[in-house]
Amino acid sequence: MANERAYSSVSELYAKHVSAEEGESFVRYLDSRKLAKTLFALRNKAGLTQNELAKKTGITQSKVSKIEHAQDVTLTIGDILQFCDGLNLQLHLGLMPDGMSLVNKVKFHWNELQKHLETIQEISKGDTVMEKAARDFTVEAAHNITNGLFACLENVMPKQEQDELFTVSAPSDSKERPEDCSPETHSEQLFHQEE
Amino acid sequence: MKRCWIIQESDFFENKFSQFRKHNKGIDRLLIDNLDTYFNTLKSGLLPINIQAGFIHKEPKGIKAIDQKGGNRKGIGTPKQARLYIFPDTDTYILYLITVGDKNSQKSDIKDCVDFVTDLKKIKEADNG
Repeated sequence: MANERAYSSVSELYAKHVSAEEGESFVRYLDSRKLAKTLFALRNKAGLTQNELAKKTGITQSKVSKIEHAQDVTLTIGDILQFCDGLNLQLHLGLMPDGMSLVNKVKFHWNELQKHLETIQEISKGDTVMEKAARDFTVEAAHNITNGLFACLENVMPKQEQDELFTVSAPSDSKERPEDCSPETHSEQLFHQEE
Repeated sequence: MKRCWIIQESDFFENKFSQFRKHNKGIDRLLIDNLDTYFNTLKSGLLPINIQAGFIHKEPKGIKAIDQKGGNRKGIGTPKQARLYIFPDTDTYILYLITVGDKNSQKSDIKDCVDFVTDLKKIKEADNG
């Protein structure tokens, strides 16, 4: 039957079967193929075979296969652009400090989110319809981001401790029922969090 | 909450893999590289049925065979055909590594895999009452 021991990654599993040196060298190799593996996953997410993607992009099936099995340093921006074009994806290049920690990546992405939301609000100013759309979207984003954050919090903190951290109450003059958790009510509540 | 895939080995995988490595230097890395690609795609949220590649072969009972195609063949030359047999259990989000072998052992390897998955399903049914 199955062995009880569980692995969260293939490199962790492989390291168990080989010498430390061999394991480390192979992890480096797998790390050098992260982008190619991401392209493989994206093609599958789009529900396309290598042949279908080849037809859409005008490159050959063997070229698609070569890209998916390449080491990242050998990929050209042209390869990636062609590949993404067939998946209706835009290529965004970003530069980050080498070895940037996950914590700093979270902070970086939060700053980016905030900047994008402020840009949406900025460009909608003066147009009533757009202002309303920007407001609605900001409310929706606040709702979804908050939900996502609470889901993450559940993983690291028992419910009781969470309750001690946050006391969210409805505004005293609110006409909404407390159990109404529609995005609009939720966002109003956000601005009335007790300190 | 989004569930995360993990990997577990069959009781006999370790032995089989160790034997395989002795006689197939370098080919194990090609198989594991493809397994890594497959596992990362599962972790990105795709169902096994939606993952298509030349290195994945369908076998009975939802078993998949991953072969050695693609990857870095430096120092290997033309690798002989090999298969790493896996079973992605979509109920438990466990990817089972069942066995590994070459073309010569293919028939008995598939039989071992089918037996493994049959037993696994029996245990699950018993657990569910």
